[in-house]
Amino acid sequence: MSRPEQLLPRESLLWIFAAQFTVLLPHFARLPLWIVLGWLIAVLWRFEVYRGRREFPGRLVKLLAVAVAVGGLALSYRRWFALEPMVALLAVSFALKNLELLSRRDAFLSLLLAYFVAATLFVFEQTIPYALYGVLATAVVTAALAAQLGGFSARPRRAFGLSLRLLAQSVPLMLLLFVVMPRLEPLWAVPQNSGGASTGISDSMTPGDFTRLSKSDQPALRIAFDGPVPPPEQRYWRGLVYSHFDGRRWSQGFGVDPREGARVSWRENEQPLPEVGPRYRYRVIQEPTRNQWLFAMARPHSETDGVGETGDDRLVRSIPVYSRFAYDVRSWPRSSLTPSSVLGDFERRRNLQLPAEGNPQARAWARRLAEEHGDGDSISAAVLAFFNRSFTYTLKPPALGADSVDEFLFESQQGFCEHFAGSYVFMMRAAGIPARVVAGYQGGEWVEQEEYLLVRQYDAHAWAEIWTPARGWQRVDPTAAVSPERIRDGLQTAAAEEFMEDALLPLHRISVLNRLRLEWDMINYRWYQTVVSFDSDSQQNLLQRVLGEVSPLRLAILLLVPAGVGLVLLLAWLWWTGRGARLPRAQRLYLRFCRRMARAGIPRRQGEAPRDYAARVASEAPRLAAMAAAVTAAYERAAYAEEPAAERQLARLLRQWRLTATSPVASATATPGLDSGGTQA
Amino acid sequence: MQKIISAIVSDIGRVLLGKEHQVKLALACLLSRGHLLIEDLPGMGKTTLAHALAQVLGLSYNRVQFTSDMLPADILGVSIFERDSGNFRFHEGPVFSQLLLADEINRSSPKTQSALLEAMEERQVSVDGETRALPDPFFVIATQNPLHQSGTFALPESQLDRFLMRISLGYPTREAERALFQGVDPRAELRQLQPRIDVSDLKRLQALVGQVKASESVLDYLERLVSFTRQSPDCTVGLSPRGALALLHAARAWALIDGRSHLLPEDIQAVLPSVAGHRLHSESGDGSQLVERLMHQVDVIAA
Amino acid sequence: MRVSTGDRQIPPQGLRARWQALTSRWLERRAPAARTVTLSHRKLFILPSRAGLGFLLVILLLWLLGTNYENNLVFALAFLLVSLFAVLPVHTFANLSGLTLRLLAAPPTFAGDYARARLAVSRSGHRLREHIEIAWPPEDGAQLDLVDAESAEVEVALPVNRRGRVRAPRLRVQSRYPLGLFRCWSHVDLDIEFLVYPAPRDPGSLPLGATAGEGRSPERRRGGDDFAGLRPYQPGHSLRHVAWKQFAGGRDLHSKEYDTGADTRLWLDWDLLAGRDVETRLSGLCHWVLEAERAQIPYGLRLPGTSLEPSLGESQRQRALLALAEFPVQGVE
Repeated sequence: MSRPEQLLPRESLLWIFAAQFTVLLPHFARLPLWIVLGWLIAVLWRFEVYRGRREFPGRLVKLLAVAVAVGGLALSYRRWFALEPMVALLAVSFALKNLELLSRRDAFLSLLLAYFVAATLFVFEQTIPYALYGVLATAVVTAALAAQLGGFSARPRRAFGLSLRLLAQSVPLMLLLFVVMPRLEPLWAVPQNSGGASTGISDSMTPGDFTRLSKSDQPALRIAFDGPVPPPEQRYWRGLVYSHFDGRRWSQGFGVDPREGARVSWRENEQPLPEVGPRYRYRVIQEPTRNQWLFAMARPHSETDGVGETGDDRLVRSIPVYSRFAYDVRSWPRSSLTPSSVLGDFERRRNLQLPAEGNPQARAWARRLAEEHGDGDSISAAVLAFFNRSFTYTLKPPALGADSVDEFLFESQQGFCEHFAGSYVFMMRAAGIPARVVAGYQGGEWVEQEEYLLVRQYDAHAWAEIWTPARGWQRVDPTAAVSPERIRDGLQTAAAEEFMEDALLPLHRISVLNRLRLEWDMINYRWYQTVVSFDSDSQQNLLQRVLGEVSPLRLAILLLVPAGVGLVLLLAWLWWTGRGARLPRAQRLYLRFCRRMARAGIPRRQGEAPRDYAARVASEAPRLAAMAAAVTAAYERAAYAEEPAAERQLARLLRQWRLTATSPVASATATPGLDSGGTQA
Repeated sequence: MQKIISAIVSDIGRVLLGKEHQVKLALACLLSRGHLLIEDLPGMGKTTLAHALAQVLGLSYNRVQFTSDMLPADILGVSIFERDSGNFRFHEGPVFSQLLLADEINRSSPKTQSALLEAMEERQVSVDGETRALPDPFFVIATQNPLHQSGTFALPESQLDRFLMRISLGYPTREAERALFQGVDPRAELRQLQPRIDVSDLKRLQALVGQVKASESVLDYLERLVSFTRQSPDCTVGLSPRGALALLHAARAWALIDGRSHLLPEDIQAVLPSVAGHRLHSESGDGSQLVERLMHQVDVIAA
Repeated sequence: MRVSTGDRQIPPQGLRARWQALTSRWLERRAPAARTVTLSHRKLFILPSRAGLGFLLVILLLWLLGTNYENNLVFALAFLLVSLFAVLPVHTFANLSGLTLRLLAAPPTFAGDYARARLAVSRSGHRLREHIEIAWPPEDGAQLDLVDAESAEVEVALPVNRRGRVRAPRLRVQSRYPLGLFRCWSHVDLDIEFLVYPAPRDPGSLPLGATAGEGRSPERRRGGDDFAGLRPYQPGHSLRHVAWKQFAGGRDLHSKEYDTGADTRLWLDWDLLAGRDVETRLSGLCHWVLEAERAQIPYGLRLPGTSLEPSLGESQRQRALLALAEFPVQGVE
C-alpha cells in the first residue's frame, strides 16, 4: 500500500497538517519563531506540490534545509542536553518531514511522531487545561490516522467522531492500566525543563524584593494536614536562611546553599530525630520554583525521596523543583528539642557577621542596648518595643540610601517585612546576639472546609531568628510587633488599602470571583493529588485499599476481570450490531427443532421443505416420526397459516420434547396425542 | 369444494393414467387463469388431457391443429360479406371457446403464433378494427413438439412467458402402460366423462385462489427465490416481476387443489419447475437444471 | 492459479511450494469454496500492520518518557494508546465479520486481458462497514464502503495469460479500518472459474473465398441454377426471385435461392493456418471470429474434431470462441 506513486489525497494532507498544528500550537510560545515559520513554509510548500504548482524539493534544497535547521538550533539554544532543544528538534523534524510527505507510510510516520510531540507537552505542563488540550490533540491525531484510509472515513465529522468513540472505548482500560501498571525509577537522567526564571523567594534579599512578591496572587504552596493544624500565628513556612549581610543585601552566605556543596543530610537518621512524636504531619505541594529549597515549619523532617535536611532546620531537594512537587513533612516544635547550649564557633561567627562599616547610628544604639540589658531576650524586647512605638507597616516603603538600616530605623520608619527583619537582625548582631533572617511564607488561606491551606506568593514573608544559650534558636517576628494583623489575618487585612492596588482589575475585591478562584484551585489541587502525583506509594496504598492484599493473583484478577467484562461487552456489541433482522418466533422454534434433529443425525437439507423433511425423518428414524409430524404440522400452521395458537403449541411441543428427550422411547410415545392439529384444513 | 376438486382430478386421472401431478398442474394453471404449454412428443396424451379437462369442467372446447400454412384469420375468425343482408358478418374463429387446444403450435408461422398469443394475453380479439371479447373462462392449452423437429417455428423465448406453465407429460408409468395394453380405452372413458361443475362454479373456484393466505414467511421464501434467479451468475435472465407473480398465483391454486387455505413452501416448490422452467435461461440454455439448483440452494427458512 | 487445460499437475517441489500446498489445503478445509461466502471468525485472520508496529514503538517511547520524567500524564497518554491498540482489533475484525460475498458473474475474457469477476458484497445488521479491499494480490482490486447501502457490487480483475477454463485463486478480502494499525483479512474461494478465450492475434486478413482441405465439405456457391430453398425476403433481394406463389398462399415474402454446387461461405479453418503452433493458430482463428463478427459476415469454424455451421450473431460467436478456448492443448499435430 505504500507505493510512492500513490499520491496522498487532499484530505490526508489536510488532516496531517491539522494534527501537526494541534500538537505544535502549545509549543509555539516556547519555540523560536524561525521554527514556526519553517513549519509554515514546509506546509505551504507541500500543499503547493499537491496543487501541482511546485515540485517536491530536490535533494539539494532538502540538505540545505537540514543544515539551516541544525545551525539554527545550535544558535538558538547553544546546548543540546536540555528539554527545549529536544522539543525544538522534534518540531524541526516534523516540519522537514512535510517536505517529503510522499506515501501513506510517510503519513503514518508523521502522525506517530505527532503523538510523541503531544506527549512532550506534558513534560512542560501538567495542569488541567493542558491535560484537556492533550486529549484534544490525541483525538485530532487519531482522527487524522482514521482519515488516512480515505473515502468515507476521511470526512471530518466521521473521522473525528470515530476517533472520539475509539478513545472513549479505550478509557476504561487506560484507567485500569494507570492504576495497576508499576512505575519504575527513572532509567537514566534526563534533561529537565530548566528554561524560564525562577519564581518566588530568591536566594538573597534586598529591600523591595518582598514588596514585589506581594503583588502576585499566584499559588506557591498547598498544604494539607493530617491531624492537628497549627494556629495562624504558628504558620511560618521556612524556606531560606540569610546569614550574610553586605550592607544592603542579605544572602545565604558561605556553606548554606546545597548548590555550593553545603552539608545536607539526605538519608534518614543522619540527624537524630526527637524522641517525642511530631506535632504536625502534613503534605506540601509546591509550585515549580526552579530552586532547590522547600518550605516547612521548624523543625522538619521528610521521608520523601530526594528531600534532605540542612543544619539550619530547612528542607532542600536534590534537584531544583522544575514541576509541581509534593513532599510529606513531619514537624516538631523547637521547644520539644533539647537545645545545644553551645553554638559552634563557625556558626557563631557566621551569625554575628556584619559589614565592616556603615549604619553607625544603629550600631551605636545596639551597643547601648547591650550594655543596658545584657541578655538577648531583653535586647530583643527593647527593639521590638521600639518598632511597636512609632513604625508603620506599608507595602510602599520609601526608598532607602546607603546606610539603609539607619535610614529606616531613625528616619522613614515605614517598611515592609524585609525592612523590619533585616534591621532587627542587624541590631541584634550589632548587640552581639547571633541572629539570622529567615525567608519563607507565613499564613495561608483555607480552601473548601479546611481541606488544605493555599499559600500564595503574596504570603511571602521575612522574619528573624535569634540564638540564646537557654533556648537555642528561636523565632522572632518583628513585623508582628508592628502589625499583628499581618500574622493573624494575612496581608490582605493588614494592608487592605494597598493590597494588590496595581492589579489591572481589582478582582480580589469581588468575593464571588474569589470564591470561584478558590474552587478552581481546589480542583487543581485534587487533580494534582490524585493524578499528577500518583506514584508507586499512592499506587500501593490504592491497591491495598481495593484488593486488601496486593498479590500477583489479586492483581491478575483486577486486570483480567474488567478486561473479560469489556471483551464480553464488545462481543455483545458486535453481535448486536451485526445481527440481521430477527426471525419470527415460529421460525426460530422450528430451526431449534431442526438443530435437534441434526444432532439426532438427520440434518435438514438446504431447500428441503418442512413436509418433505418430516417424511424423510419418518423414513430414516421411525421413532421420531410422530414428533416430527406434530412439530411440522404445528409449524406449518404457525408460520404459514399464522395461527397464534399453533405457535404456542409448537413451543409446547419443543418444551415437552426436551423433558422427554432423555428417554427417546418416551418421546415417541408421548407425542401422538398432540398430533391433533392436522395439516388438512 | 374440496370434494369436487378431488373428483375432477380423479376423473381426469381415469383418462390419463398415472399422471396425477400433471393433471393437478393443469388444473392449477386453469384455476389461476393462466395458459398452459405442453411440450412433448406426439402421442403422449396431450389432446386427451385437454379434452378431458374441458369435458369435466363443462367448458366449450375447440381444437385447432396448427399447420405451416395457417393464417391468423384461421384462428381468430373472419368478416365475410353477406349478400343477403348486404353487411359484413364476423365469423368467429376457434379461439372463441372456453378451452382452446392449440395443437402443435410451433408448426404455424410466427405471425399466426403471435396472433394467438396476443389473444391469450388480451383475452380479446381485434379484427377489422373491431374488438371482440373472448369468452370468460378462457383457457389455452398449447402443445408444442420439442425443438429440432424439422419444419417448425419454435416459440420465441420472449413469448414463452405468456404461458403460466410449461409442462411435459412424459412417458406413461409402467402400470399405466400395462393398463393400456390390457385394453383400458381412454377414449371410451373420455366419452363417459360428465361435467362436474359449471362455469359459475369454476369462477367461484378461481376467486377462491386469490383468497389463499400467503404468510410473511412464505412470501419471504418467494422473494428469496426470485432474487436468487436475478443474482445468480448462472442465470442470464432472472425471473421477471410477472414471473414472480405467476409463481405466487400458481402456488396458491396448488394449495387450493391440495385443500388448504394457506400457502406452504411446498406449494411453491411443486409449481416452480413448470412456472419458472421456461422463464429462466442460463448459458447452457435450458432453465430446468437452474430450477433444480434453485430448489436446493435457496432455503425454505431464512437462517 | 489452477488451469484445467494446463500442465500444472506437476507435484509441487521445494519447501516453499510444499508450505504453500499445506496452507492451501488447510484453507480448503477451513474456508471451502462456495459461490456465497459469509466471513466469520473461522475464516478471518488479524495481525498488526507495519504502521501498527510503529505505533507500538511510539507507545514504548512514551513509556520511557513517562518513566524518566516520572510524568503521570505521559503515562496516561501511553496507556491510552495501549488501550486503543487493544480496542482496535475488535473494530477491524467487526468490519469484516458477517460480510457476505457472492459471485454475481464471471464473464469470459481473452487471454492476456483481465478477467473481471463481479461480486456482491453485503452486510448483515446496521453496523457500517468501511474500507474493504477485495483483490487478487498483487493486483489492486476494488475497494468499497458499505455505508448508505446494505450491499454493493464490485468488480475485481485478474490478469489471465492462458486460454481455457481458468480457476481463479482465492480472493483476498482485507480491511485496515479504522486506523490502519491492524490488518484483518480472509482468503475466500468463491469458486470462480473464468472461461478464457485465446488472445486474438492477427494472422492476416479474413480468408474470404479461400478454401482449405479441398473436398472436406460440400462446397456450394450461391447464384446458380439449382433451387436450394426459401429464405425470408429482405429489401435488396432481387424481385425476380420472390416466391410469389407462396406469398399468395398466405406466407410472408420469401426469396427463392439458387445455388451452384459450391459455396462461398466463410470458413475459418484450422488448416488455413497450417505450419504454425497450436496456440498461434487458435489466436489467429479467434481474431478472425471477431473480425467476421465485426464485418457481419457469416462464418463457420472448423477445428480438428469440431465444426460449426456458418452463422452470425452472439450465440455463434460464443460457440466459436468456446470451441477455441476449450481446444485441448495436446490437440492435433
